[in-house]
Amino acid sequence: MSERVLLAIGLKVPDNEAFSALEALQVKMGFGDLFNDLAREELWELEFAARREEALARTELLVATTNLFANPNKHRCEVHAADEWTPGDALKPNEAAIVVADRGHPEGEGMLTALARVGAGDVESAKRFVVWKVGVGRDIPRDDHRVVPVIERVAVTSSRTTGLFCNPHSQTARVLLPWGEEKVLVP
Amino acid sequence: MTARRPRIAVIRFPGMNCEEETRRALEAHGLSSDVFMWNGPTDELLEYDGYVLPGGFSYQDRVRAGAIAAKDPVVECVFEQAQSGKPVVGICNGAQILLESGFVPGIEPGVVQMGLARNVMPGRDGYYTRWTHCEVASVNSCATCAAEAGQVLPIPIAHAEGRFVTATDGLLDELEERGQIVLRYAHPGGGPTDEFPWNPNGSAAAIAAVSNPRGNVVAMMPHPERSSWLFQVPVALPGVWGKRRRDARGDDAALARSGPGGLVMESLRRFVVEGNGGRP
Repeated sequence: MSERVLLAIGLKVPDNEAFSALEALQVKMGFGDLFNDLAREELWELEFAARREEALARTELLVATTNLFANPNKHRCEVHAADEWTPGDALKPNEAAIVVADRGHPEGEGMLTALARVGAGDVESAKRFVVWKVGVGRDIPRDDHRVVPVIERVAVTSSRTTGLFCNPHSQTARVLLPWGEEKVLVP
Repeated sequence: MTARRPRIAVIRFPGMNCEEETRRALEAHGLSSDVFMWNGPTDELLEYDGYVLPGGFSYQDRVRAGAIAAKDPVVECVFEQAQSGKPVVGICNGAQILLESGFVPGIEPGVVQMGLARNVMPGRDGYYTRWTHCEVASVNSCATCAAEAGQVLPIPIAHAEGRFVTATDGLLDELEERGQIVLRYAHPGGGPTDEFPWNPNGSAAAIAAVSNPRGNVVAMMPHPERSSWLFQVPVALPGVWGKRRRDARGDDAALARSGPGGLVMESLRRFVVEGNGGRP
């Protein structure tokens, strides 16, 4: 018996990291107004040896009673069962999500150590993802052949001028599109 | 008449914090050095004989260490100068910028062929700092041409993303064959190792520094400016340099002598003055 829980964490305050990334896209990489918005979320996938209700309740308790994942003064958190929700569910029609993770999830080991210190040694694994939600100036049609390839190109760094969010040698990446499609770019 | 000291630009991006000690270490080893702002006039940058991208946290490591700085126009200018043969050394965050730019390893110039991933350490995660022992694996680079092959240089590291990795099939073997692996993490007495803490971050093939094929661009994670004088070496450090440091106790002149990291600065000077460090 094992249950995976997703913990989505965003900032309530302005996100300077997202602002820098958007500036890099618009100015340094020359995309101008093609991308007009960028938001960032941290996503933790926790695996418990427990039933769903218990795993969700344990995660809610960890968020409420520790500062390992979020500071309530500046973060907002959502807790979901992993088989019922993806970050793509919350996309607007003009948004795509680029989900990046460090290959092998090296942050997970440190998080498990920290969780054990606060008495949550029953968490079996912890994986961290970063979700970049890129917004374009108009809704992305399902049969789009222009914007989606650009989003895929900025997702993965292949040269100094191409790609930003994922270094394919150390990270994985997938793109979630607003109509529910998912494309794995770097497995 | 004294010979003109080679001029090195230490390029400061927003968020870097090692530019001043790097400049001082270069000055102490026969080089003239200026801190050059990332948004300074690029025509002035062309007047320098070589470039150092120092350590720190450019753009606060936003997105990924070095990822945003790699997009700055000054990096393209440095790349063009490196193509003409001028030396470029990236230290720590500077190394991350060079890899994110595709300058290093540069077998396919401009293509990103490697990454500097988060450290992998038993039972811990994140930022890690300690003295490492770097074995010189190749002297055919602007950062090691004054050293001897096999020499062990104690140099500190301080990073969270310093693990050299690649998803390119056969690249590590190719780097080995071409002599582009410049420094390797080793035991204090020598001998490259994957064993923590001597290899402090799980770096593939124990790589601590990599060059481009020509050897004039080097990305190194250890901080040579922090071991450029003997007084910077801890007395408790094992190996030859630790003994030198202990022997120098109370002797100000001896303590002010060049340290192990000074060999990187001396290599850079020699590379400029003798052209390719005097090698063909």
